Amino acid sequence: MESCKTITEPLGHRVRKRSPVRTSIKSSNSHSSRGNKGRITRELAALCGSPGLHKGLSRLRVLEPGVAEQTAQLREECGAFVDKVVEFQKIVGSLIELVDQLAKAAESEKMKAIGARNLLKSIAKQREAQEQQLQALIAEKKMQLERYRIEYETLCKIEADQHEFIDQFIFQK
Amino acid sequence: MRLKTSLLKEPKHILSLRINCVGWTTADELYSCSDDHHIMKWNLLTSETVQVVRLPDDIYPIDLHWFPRSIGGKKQSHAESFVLTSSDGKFHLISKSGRLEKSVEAHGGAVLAARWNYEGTALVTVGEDGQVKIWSKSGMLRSTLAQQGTPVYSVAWGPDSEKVLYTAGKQLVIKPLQPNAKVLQWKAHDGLILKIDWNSVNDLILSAGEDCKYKVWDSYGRILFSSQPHEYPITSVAWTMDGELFAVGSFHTLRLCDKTGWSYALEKPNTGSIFNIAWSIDGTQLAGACGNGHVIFAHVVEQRWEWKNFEITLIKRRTMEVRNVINDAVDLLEFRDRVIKASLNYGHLVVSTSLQCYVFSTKNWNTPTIFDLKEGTVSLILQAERHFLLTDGGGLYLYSYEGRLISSPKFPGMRTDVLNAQTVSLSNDTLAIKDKADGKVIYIFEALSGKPLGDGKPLTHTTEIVEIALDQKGLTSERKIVFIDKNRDLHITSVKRFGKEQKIVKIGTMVHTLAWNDTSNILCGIQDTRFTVWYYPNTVYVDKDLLPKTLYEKDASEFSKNPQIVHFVGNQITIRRADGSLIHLNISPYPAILHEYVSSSKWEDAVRLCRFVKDQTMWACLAAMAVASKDMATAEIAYASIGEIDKVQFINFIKDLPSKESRMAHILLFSGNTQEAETLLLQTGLIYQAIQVNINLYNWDRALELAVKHKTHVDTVLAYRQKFLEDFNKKETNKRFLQYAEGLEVDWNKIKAKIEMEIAKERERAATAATGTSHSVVFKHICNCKKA
Repeated sequence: MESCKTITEPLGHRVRKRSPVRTSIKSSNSHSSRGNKGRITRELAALCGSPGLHKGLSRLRVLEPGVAEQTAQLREECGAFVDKVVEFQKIVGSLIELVDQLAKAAESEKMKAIGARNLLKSIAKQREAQEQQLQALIAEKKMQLERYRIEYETLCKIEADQHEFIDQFIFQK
Repeated sequence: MRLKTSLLKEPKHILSLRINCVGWTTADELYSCSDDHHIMKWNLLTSETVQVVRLPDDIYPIDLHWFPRSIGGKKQSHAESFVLTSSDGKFHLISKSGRLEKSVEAHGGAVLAARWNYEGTALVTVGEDGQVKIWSKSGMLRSTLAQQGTPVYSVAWGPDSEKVLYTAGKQLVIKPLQPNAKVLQWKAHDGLILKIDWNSVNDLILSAGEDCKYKVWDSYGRILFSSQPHEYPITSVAWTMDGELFAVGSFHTLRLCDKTGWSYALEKPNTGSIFNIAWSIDGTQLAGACGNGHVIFAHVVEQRWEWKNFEITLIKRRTMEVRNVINDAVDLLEFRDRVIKASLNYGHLVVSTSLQCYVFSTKNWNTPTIFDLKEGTVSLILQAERHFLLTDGGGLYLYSYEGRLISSPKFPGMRTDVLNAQTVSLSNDTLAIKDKADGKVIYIFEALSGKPLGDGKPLTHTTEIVEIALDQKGLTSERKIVFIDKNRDLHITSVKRFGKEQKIVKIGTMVHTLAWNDTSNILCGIQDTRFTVWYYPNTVYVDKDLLPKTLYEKDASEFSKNPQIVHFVGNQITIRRADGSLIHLNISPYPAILHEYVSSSKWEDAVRLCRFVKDQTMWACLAAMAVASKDMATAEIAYASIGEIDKVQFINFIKDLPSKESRMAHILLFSGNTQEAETLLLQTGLIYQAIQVNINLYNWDRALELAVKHKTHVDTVLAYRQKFLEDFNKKETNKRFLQYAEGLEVDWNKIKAKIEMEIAKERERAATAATGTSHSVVFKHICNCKKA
């Protein structure tokens, strides 16, 4: 964003600088061109230092030097503008890509969240099923235990019987 | 006992497609079919799984059943082909290699089940169209047995292959193949019935349904067991071959149950619903077709055997743990192959593996006797004191504990695969087998030679026999067999018969279960709601009236319904209740001691013992034993002790008789053997005494007949007859007596003189011929009587 700002600022500056020039062209062609010629020659004279060469040079021109200069400037500016637009497009593209990536990530996270939520729900059910299974196993073990208990009881009874028998036997003897 | 299950991590069939059917070829090879159209072969020895064949895409298999292994006498080592039913209404005969041999259009809609009968002569199929069809071996339609509005989900053959059991919604139907025979139909479940099985050995029916219960029925449709409802519908049930166990499959559930219905073990494997269960032929492992594409395998471990102070547990497939309870010593017995059957009794452990038989003595666990088996799968081991019996698919083999083959009894139409401990009984000298074809017949063999006993004629009863048992001790000539018939009456008879009509005596009613003692001839059983011990069952042949006095009875209501006697060792009885719990009972040790004294003729010791115990039952037993051994002195004391004065008097009267022959005859009379007594008298020439016996019994016709035949004492008979008629104010109506009475004058003085003379003659004869011919005749006769 920082780089963007730095690029756009001078561009705007130039547009602002150029716009009064354009209006002056549109308003009165002859007057402004004369004014312009005078300024360019003045400038050229200042550049070369000899007013004669200055004139002759101006005579060779097909296009008014001011316009040519402006055109060149415009072309330059247009080129820069196009560059800027391309750059801008690139930047926007990367932005879109980034956003897309984010969307994808968000989507997958969402799916994960939904999955987790469902899993959570099913785990409750799973636990229930597991509990049921364990309960069944416990019931089975309990039954087995009950069988052993009954067997143990009868064996205890036999032991008691046998003790009684031995006691009686000894007593009778 | 429990099941050890194993599931592969990755299913071999395509996951999530359910497996529909499984079937064993040998003890270690299994075929499975699934909705993915594959038929897979599983070898458990090499743990290899190969695809046998891929079925065409339009065949969705539903049920599979292997062709039975042995047909008649011809034996095949393994099954060669199977029948596969499919959802398009066809059944397919497929060879072992997977070749589709025949496809038959059978039903409209899917064919839901198909079963070969036990001989492999017929096939029954049932389908969604509600029809039950019978097919020949080659797949030709024989008949449409039944037709109904609802799909038939399962079908089973009866043990004799003459009846078919099938489901009809919530009802079960038993239909005989013969037309016009009575059809048995009953409501069995509250939900749709999904699976049934009928065992050929114990004749019991299993059913399972959507009401989440499994039930056990007898073949008359009476319920024997109904399980608690489960969480999910029961999808499969299957008997083992020998009918001792069955397996139950449901959603995530596999259960192992005893034949009486109670459950040994429950497993909760991660299988989905188990749609089909198949037991291997030896009954030690099972495979289940699971809803999630797995095949579950399970084998039975932790079986236990107990005898006196030894406790043996099968801890692994090939390892047994022997625990001596007295000193807590533990021995481990290792076997080369899987243990199939084992039996522990009479101080010996007999173990059969798939190839060998091991005989251990409880005195020495280190050096067993080992011998090879002819055919792998032993279905029954039965032990006696001196030898044991093995049965396999081929026959019966009697081995000594040294591993020597003693004999191999055979009878026509023998089917060894249906024998169990209720239908075969072994003692030291005799082997008895109930016939399967005719349930009224018992074949009896001499154990040592393997030949039929006596004249070779089997013992025949009037009604069907359910359970038989031979007594274990005593002389060979006094061997007794008891059996329970269909009406649950308990009968006893002698095994040895010599042309004479066998005498079958009923000694109990409503008897559910019975067992002989291993060391003396004491019988115990459960009669209706009473637990009964017959201390001396032979009493019925001596003095029938005395039998109730020789019994020990106890209320058996604490054993709940249908208890089974497991052992009767020493004076301890083990009973298994219907819920599976074992109950141990003690009986008095004295009767066994009494048996011992009597068998060694220590009469004085026996009397002393009875005096010590002061028990009426003991005296009654002693009385019967004494009469059976013709020891009248002891009998007199014993009868006097139980207050049977009339009998004491009769014994005294016998003592006073002039000759040995008469005494013998009157002892026979005492036991109610009038026919034998008369024959004995006639044989020794004591005509008058024979006539007098008949007169005393008011057996007038026979008395007169004898008198006329031997031309003596006709007037005596007539005189007694006249006296009898006068006493009862009756008139003579018997034509023969009228005829003989015409020319005769009754003179009591003359008759009395004649009788006196006869007695004097007898006395004289007895004095002169103390060791003469008559003696040997009497001796011979005694022998005969004993044998009879």
